Amino acid sequence: MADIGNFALILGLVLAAFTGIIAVVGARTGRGELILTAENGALATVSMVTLAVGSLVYLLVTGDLTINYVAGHINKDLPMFYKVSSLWAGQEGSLLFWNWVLSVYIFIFVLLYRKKSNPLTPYVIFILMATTFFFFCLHLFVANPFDRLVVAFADGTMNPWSPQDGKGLNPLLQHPAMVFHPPMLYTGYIGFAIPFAFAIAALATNRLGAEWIRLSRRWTIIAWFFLGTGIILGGKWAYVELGWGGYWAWDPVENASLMPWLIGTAFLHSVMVQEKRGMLKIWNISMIIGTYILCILGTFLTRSGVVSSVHAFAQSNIGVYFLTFIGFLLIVSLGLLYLRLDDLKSENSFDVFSSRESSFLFNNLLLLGSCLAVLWGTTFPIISEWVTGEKITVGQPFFNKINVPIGLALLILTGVGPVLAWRKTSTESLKRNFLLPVLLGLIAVGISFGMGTRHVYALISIGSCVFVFVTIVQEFLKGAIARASSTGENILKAVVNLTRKNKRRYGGYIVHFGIVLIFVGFTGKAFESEAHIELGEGEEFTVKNYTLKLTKLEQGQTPNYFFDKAFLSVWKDGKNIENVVPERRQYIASEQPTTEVEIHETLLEDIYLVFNSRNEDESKAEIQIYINPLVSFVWVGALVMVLGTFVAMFPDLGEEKFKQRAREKAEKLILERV
Amino acid sequence: MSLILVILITVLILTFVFAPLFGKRKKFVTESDDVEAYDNLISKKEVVLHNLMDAELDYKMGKLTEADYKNLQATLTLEASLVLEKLDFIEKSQNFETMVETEIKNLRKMNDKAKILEKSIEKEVKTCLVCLTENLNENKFCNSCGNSFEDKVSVKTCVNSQEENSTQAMLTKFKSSAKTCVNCQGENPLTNSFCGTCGTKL
Repeated sequence: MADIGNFALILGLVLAAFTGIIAVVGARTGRGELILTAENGALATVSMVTLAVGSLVYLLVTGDLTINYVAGHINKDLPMFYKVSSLWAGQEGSLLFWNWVLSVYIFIFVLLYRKKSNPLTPYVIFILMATTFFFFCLHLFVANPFDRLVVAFADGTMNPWSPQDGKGLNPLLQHPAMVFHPPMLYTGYIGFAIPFAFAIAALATNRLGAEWIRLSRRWTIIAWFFLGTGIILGGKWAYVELGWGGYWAWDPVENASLMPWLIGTAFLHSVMVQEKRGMLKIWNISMIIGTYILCILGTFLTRSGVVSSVHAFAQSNIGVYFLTFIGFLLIVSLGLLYLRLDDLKSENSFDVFSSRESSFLFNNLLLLGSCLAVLWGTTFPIISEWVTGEKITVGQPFFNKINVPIGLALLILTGVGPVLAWRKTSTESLKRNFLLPVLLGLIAVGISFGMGTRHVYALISIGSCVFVFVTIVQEFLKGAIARASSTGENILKAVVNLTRKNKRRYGGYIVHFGIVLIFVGFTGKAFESEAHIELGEGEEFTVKNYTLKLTKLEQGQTPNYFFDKAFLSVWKDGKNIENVVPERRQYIASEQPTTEVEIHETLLEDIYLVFNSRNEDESKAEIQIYINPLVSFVWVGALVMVLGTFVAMFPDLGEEKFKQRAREKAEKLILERV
Repeated sequence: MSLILVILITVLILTFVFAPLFGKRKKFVTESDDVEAYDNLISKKEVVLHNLMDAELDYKMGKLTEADYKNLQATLTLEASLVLEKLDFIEKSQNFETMVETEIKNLRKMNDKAKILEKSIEKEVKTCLVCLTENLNENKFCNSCGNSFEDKVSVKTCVNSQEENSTQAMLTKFKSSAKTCVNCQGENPLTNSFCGTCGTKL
């Protein structure tokens, strides 16, 4: 099967190179049969990546320990579930998985645009093939997942060899979230390849109107959605698996996924300015180029090992290949952008400060600022090592110092933007629309202050969350009232229909509501408390209004690991609310220790328990306790964001009727004017 | 086993990829700049119309004052009318271009037929005006499609003529490059859609 896999990689490499070239030749010569050949070539390339992935999964599932990758990432007793997910646990496999996700996108793209004679298609295929070609090169020349284990004999000959059992999967990756988190993240990262390819195709063909934005819009939302969901799932995994009590640590690899998400978010907003007003054309192309380059950079940071990270599951010297590819992408995209600068002039200019488009511009600048700060902090250890020879790591305080105020400013803009009208909003309207949200926001700050909150950022965050929440409710209500007055519908029906008729706008507001909930969760960080205790069997400890009783300690073994469990009962106000069992494990194959935390989750507060170790005579358990308020809001907010994205992403079913009505209305107005 | 599989996959893949190269040559017809400009105007029209609806909703929601709304509405209506005018212009000019192209094609076809007829006179043969097959001069019917050389109706179908069906007479008609009115037999230039003498549709 390894031979089949290697063959698929070689044929895939040849096909990708041929397809990319033939697509451009076809477009330049205007020969349709060449374009069709390129489309078939793209599908054939996809089939080769799929064949290679299929081969590797087969080798993992059957446990062929003659293959280096298999021996390094599974062991015989590993559950089947994790044997399959080992595909993306190591460098070689995850790069192949990356290429396969890209090929799924290519497959869908070719099927959608096949035989449609869209002039952008051949160039999109070229960019996608260039990307997949790069990955085929990595598979074949740097990180081949089908390499066999060999041993050197005394006579100098190399002979095949296989161990009794494999090293096993990294214990940290043996968690259900790990089965979904990497695929989600990859689907997000790679999804931006399509809008990027559309942008490059638009530059290459000089078709710089709204066409490429229109064609790539849905692809962008899909990529953004998967990237965001992947980040949140990563946070959830870190929270329940890593055992340090939090979900975000400004880890370089976390940052690597956050950066393209930030710029992708900026792009999603700024394209609206181009669609509505024909402005920010250069900015939009730059944003999507930046997003995709950051996606490749993210893969580079994850896979190269240039920065130390909790994600440093696999490290090697592939950095130089990634930097070359990033250089190639930058030269092609910025070169084309420079050539087309004259054709990308704005059709309008910003009228006044208090307009929707201005708020989008501020939102973009803040998101870009945040991204640059994260980029600087993440790459600083590499830069400092290059310059001074010493690796200086930038810690959490740096990221928090810059990103917390930017995040709060963005949160406030989330409330301000929708209330502003396009082009111009009068002072009178500003006063009328902002009075209630600002007033309620200030009241919330006052109440929090009165209840003893002195943390400045927490107070600003509470006030901002209330302010934004009220503006969102106001948007729905005022829109529904306006609709109800013209259609005679009741308010509830009007809200539903209003959302149904303008899914993009109101779906966006639902996403904003999700953001508010996530910020409520972030605010909880200001009220965290923790304790470190030693408990023997039958002893108890009280923290805030919770009491913990250790009922027993138990040690044992499974085929996969040794365990040490602490049986605890949690009491609140004299009532037993839950019995939990935090655990320590020592994995046999990989010889790695881990902690399995226990979390008692409620909407308002989590009790997070980590069984760190035993005391010297092993009679007592050393338990770390974290009381984390409002963390559940982060997960609920993420779910709301998912819901909002679905609403915004799905085709507007009433769009045709709406357009017809809009057309009739506009034609009537024009006739009146004439 | 692996080798057979590899050969089989390679053959299948190469057949699939190169199949279009062995078919008919096809032109990759992409939209011209004019069509792109037209498409852009169409999307611009949708955007302006959407903006008008948004402005109305913003006004009803109290985001715009009445004065601002009226101003914005006027600006957007002006934008919309400019876009609609441009679209109208392109549509009309496209219709005109299509009309001229059709006329040129018709003239070319007639010219070709005239050349064939001239040749058939030189060769002393009869050319069928339905299928353009050359027939012996004494034939009464076309030996290819069966068109009657005696039947005036069938000849009239080809040359707008109700007169004699001799090749020479037909050629004269073609060379005059005129449309003959079926009502008054009046001669009209090819560009006429109605007869200049009696007004019958040509």
